[in-house]
Amino acid sequence: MVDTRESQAIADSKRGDEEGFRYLHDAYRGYVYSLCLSIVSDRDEALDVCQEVFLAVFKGIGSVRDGVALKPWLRRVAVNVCLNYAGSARSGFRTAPARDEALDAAATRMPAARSFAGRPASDPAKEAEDSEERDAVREAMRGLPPDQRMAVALYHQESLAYEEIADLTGWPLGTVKTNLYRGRKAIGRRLRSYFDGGESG
Amino acid sequence: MNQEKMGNHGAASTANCRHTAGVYVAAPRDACGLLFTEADSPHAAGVCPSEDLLFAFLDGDVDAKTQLEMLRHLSTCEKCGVALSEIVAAMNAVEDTLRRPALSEFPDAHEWDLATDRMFEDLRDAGIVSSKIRADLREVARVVGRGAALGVEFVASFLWTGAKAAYSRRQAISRIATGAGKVAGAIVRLGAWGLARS
Repeated sequence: MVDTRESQAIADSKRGDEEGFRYLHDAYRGYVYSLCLSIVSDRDEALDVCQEVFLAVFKGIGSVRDGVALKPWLRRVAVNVCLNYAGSARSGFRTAPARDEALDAAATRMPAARSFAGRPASDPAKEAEDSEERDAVREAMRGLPPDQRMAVALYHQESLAYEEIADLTGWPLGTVKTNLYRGRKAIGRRLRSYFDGGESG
Repeated sequence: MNQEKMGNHGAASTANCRHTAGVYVAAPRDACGLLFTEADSPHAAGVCPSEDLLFAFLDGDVDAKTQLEMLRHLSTCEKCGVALSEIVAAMNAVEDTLRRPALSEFPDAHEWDLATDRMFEDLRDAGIVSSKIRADLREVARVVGRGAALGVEFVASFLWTGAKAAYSRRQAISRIATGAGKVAGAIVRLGAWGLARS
C-alpha cells in the first residue's frame, strides 16, 4: 500500500513543486545515504553519491507511475549511480587497502564474537564493543573491490536474492554469486583475525 | 560424501538454515544435529565442505541432498561446526552494521543542509524545481500550450488550407498574430482556456 502523503509528494514533484521534492528527499535520504555508504564505504563520498541519486531521481520523477512504491525505484537508481560512480575516472570509489593496523588495534581491545550475543542494548560496555565491531566491519568492507562490496551490501543490507541482485546490477547470476562469496570470504577472514585478536588480547 | 558432490550446489533449496527475517541462526548443527547421530555414519569422517559451500548452505543455495549430507557432516565435524559459527558471527556483524548505521556515520544537520541546498540549486538551475505557485503556473501553461497547439493545428487544417495540407504550428501562429486569423485565434484561446480549466 502506497502512502498517500508520498503519492501526493510524487504528484507535486512531477509538477516541479519544491515542497514535493523536499518531502521525498527528507523521507528517503537516510535510506539512500546508508545504502551509498555501504557501497562506496566513505562518508563524504556517500553524501555526494546520495545527492547525485536524488538529482537523478528528481530528474526522472516524471516516469514514476501513480500508485507505485518509490523505494524499489530509488534503490535501482542508487545502484546505477553507484555503478557509474565506480566506473568514473573522478571517483575515489575504489578498493582501499584494509587497514590491518586499525583492525589489530581494535582486536586487542575486543572479546570474542560469540560473547556479543544476548547482552542488553543499554549496556555501555556493549555499546563500546558494538562501535568497535562496527568499525571493523566498515574497514573490512572498505578493503573489498567495489563489485564485491556492492554484492555484499545488496545481499546483507537490502536482503535481496541472487536473482534480484543480478537484475539490479545487470551482472550474470554466476557473477553475483562469485562477487558475494569472495566478498564475504574476505570479510570473514578480516573479522576472524579481529575476533581472534580479541580473544587472545 | 565426496568432494565433487559437496561442491555441486547449483540448485536452490527451499529449506535452509537462514531465518526468514534475514538473521542467521547461530548453529545449525545444534538445531539439526540430533537427527544425525549415528556413530557409523559415512559422513562423519567425510571430506569437509569448502567455505563457498558453507556460504551456499547458509543461503539455502544447495539442493536437498547436499543439504542433508552437510547436516550430517556438521553434526559430527567439530572443525566445520566452528567454521560455520564463525561465518555466522561475521555475517551477523555485517548485517547489524549495514542495516543500522550509527548516528555518527550520518552527516550532521549542517552537512545535510549544505548538500541539500546545493542539490536544489542544481535542480532550480535545470528548471526542474520551482516554488509551488510557479509550479502551478507552469502546469497551467503546459496544458494551455498543449491545447493551443491542438487548436492551432485544427484551425489551420480545416479553415485555412481546407483538406490540402496542415499548416505548421509556426505558420498558423504567425497567421493568427498578423490578424489574418483573429477569429480563429480567439477560438483557439478559448479552447485552450477551457482545457486548462478541465
